[in-house]
Amino acid sequence: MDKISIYKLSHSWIKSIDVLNLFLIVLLTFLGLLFVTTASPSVAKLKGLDEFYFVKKHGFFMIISFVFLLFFSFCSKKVIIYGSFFSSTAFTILMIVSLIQNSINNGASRWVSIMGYSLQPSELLKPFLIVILAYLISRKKRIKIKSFFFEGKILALGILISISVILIKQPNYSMVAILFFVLLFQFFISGINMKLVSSTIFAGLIFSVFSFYSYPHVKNRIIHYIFSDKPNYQVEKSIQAYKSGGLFGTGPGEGKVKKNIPDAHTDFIFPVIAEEYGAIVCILIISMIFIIFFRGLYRASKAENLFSLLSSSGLLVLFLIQALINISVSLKILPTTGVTLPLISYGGSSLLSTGIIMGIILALTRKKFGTNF
Amino acid sequence: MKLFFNPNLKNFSQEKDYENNQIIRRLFLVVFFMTAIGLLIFSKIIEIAMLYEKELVNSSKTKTENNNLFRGVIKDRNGKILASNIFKYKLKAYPRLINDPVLTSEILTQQIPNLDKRRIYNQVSNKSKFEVVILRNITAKKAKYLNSLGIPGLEFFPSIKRFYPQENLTSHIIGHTNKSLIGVNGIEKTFEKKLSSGEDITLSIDIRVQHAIREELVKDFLAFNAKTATAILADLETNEILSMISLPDFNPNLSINPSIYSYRNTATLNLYEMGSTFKIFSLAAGFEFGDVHLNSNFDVSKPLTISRFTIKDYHPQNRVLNTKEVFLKSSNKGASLIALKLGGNNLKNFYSKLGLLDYSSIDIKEKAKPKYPLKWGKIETANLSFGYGISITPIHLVEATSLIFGNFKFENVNLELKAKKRKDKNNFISFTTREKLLYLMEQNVLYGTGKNAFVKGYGIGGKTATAEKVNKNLGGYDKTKLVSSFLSIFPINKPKYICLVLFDEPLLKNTVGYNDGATGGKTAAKTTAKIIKRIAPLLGIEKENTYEDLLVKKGRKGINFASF
Repeated sequence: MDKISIYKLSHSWIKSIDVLNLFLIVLLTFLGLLFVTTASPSVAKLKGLDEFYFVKKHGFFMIISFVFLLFFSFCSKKVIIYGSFFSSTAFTILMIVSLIQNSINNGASRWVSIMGYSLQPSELLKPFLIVILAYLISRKKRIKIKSFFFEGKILALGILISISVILIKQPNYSMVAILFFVLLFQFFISGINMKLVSSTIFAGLIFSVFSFYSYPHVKNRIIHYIFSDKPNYQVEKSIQAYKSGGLFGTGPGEGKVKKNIPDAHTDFIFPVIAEEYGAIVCILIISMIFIIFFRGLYRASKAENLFSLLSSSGLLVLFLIQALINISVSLKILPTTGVTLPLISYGGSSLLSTGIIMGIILALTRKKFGTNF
Repeated sequence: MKLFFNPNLKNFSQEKDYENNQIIRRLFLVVFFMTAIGLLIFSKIIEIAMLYEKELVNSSKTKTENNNLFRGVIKDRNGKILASNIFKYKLKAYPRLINDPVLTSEILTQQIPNLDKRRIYNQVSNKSKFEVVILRNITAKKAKYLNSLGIPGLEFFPSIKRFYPQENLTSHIIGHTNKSLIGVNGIEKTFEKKLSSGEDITLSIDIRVQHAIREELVKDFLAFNAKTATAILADLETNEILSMISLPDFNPNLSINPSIYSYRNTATLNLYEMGSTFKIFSLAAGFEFGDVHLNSNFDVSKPLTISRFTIKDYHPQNRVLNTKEVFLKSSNKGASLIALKLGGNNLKNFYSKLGLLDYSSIDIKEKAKPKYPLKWGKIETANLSFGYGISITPIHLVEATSLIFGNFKFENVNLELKAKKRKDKNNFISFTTREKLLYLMEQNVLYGTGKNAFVKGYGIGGKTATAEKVNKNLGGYDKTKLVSSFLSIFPINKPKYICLVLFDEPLLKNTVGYNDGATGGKTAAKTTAKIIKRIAPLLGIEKENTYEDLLVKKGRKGINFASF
């Protein structure tokens, strides 16, 4: 490609892209780097690592996820659909591999190690799976597989249930719940078929009951959450951090409670922000997350077809619901889960996944010539 | 499957506008739902943050009321300081600010003795480190002097440390704190709340008496080569502990290794089968409930066999003994006969009332629960009458004795000084029983096993005890390992103090594994005599001088009347 075509491409890209959302995403990501910088040194010290170990890693993954974001925001719908089919198959296989590999090693089976980095394939599967669900739901024609005809929605539900079986084996219940929520949202938007909605809710209920009784840690967490006055250690410290911060915070790097939170850089980064920058900054950050959601949804509603609308809005709901669950856990509204705060929390897989999510959203909400925003 | 890879997307424009409107309506519903959740989270954050602002205001008020910057001071009954706070300094160096590491390390090693010059040079010249710690625990004076030398790149950081001026003397009573100034032992732990809020604590301990007793005890502790030694002095009128010593002890000012043996407060933690001192209690029960009198007779010539156990005497007497002789000769058979006459249940009730079956009431956290048989059959009752089969701590023995002989109604043994006036007379046992027991104890020191405790001029009553220790390997009692103790009350005509001296595994001839007769009478009673001789003047006990005492013999020249 010569210089002019690159210029043209980038010019048309910047003209069609949702600049406000892109700006907010970049802003939040850089804020995330700042927060990880203040939150992680105490954790790194505890683990006997270099003080800025997590910061360096976060920076590295941030660059990679920016590359992903840019790449996906350039993609067309067709490329996204093809890519999603390809990558979700690949990540599903990786998930099964990690399950088998770790059942031998007897370790936590969410992770698979690739080139020295441990990745969470389920985290990366999420955006692509939602795109596929949106594609299947948006199809009006029945899909023929061998000599059987399937309605797209039922196929989507079937795929999600089979993926959920693998996720439960891991076990990663919060992700199952989130994915079912997104599917429910997509069904709702595409037009309610009461049978399907109720069957989705029913499947979700069965999964939750099953998980409640079959896995003691889930049972413990929920019973602990409902019946105990004393929350677990991290949540207690998290509430303390909110209190210690007050409205205006103790100042960057001045937090004391954060040093007692073991997951201060990942799942419990929000209380660290609350302690050091205060409740007002917290509210600003949540507002920014909501602005990304509203703005994205607004542009999605102008989409030219159902697939773009369903996948972009589904991904937006995924993004928002993750953020809300993460914050609610730290506020003791929900029981403890392993959900990270997208764009801000430390975590390679989480950052990459968020980059992909945002890239696809930006691509699918691009301005088309002739449509008036 | 072909359809999967042939995305054919229909645009909205090909469909009805109606559906598009529906979708937008549904999107609005979702937006409302999400916004509601968002607002809920907002309110929760604000609520928690505002809540704290209120808490902060409240706590700042209480902070100004009591200044808890410094931990409370611990004093003895005369106001002598036993634990206080001092500033110590930590010397840090900043290698990046030091231009001449050679000179710096040279000056430092000149000024501070025992400093490794090579180590200091390595630390100071290591530019990759931001800061290094050169030395801890520097006194204020030294820190000021070093600071005045003006060496660049050095800085002093003050920190509050707990200081125990009496060192080993109060080690077990006061205990100590950890690095973050939280009490981990003794009084420091028991009164943590008061002390940490800045309140001072005054103890009933008299440090002069404590010192005198410890000095005498240490001499004999070393002479008898004992494993541990304990001495407790308690006031019978107020039930306060005047002195409590456990040997070996430690210096709480030095860093403490909890695994060392001397860390244990043997006076309140170690369980022993006490032996014959229990005869005081079994006789008291006999006098009170068992229709036993001073001249009741007990035949100890025949061997006393209960089921398959035979009870033996340490000093065998093949005749009929009366109660007084049973006590003076410390006859186990006699005591057993009294207890059997009394019955197991009565004895148990009495011991229980004496507090021998539960934790001691002393206000210190380190306590042990006594061990005793669940079923009190005949053999158990016989054994328990002379202090076998029941393990108690030394403080239990003192507590039970002060219950019987205390002048006022017993409440609890305490280490904290309480300015309270007592009115209720002690009616735990009848007056006559108390007098009988005191008479027996006095006679015991004059003519019985406790002869060695006799101090001229001071009326002392007491009871010796020599118990064999249980050896788990042998599966029975080990004759070579003894617990020898002496429990004394003085002045005997007007009881005011109880003193218990106990040696664990004492040896007279310093030969391990051989019973050389280190009985209570030969060890603890002697020590008690020395102790009383020294502390009586401190406690203000009058010496009963006879006419002869007033005469001071002066060489051969004749007799002078010292008082005239």
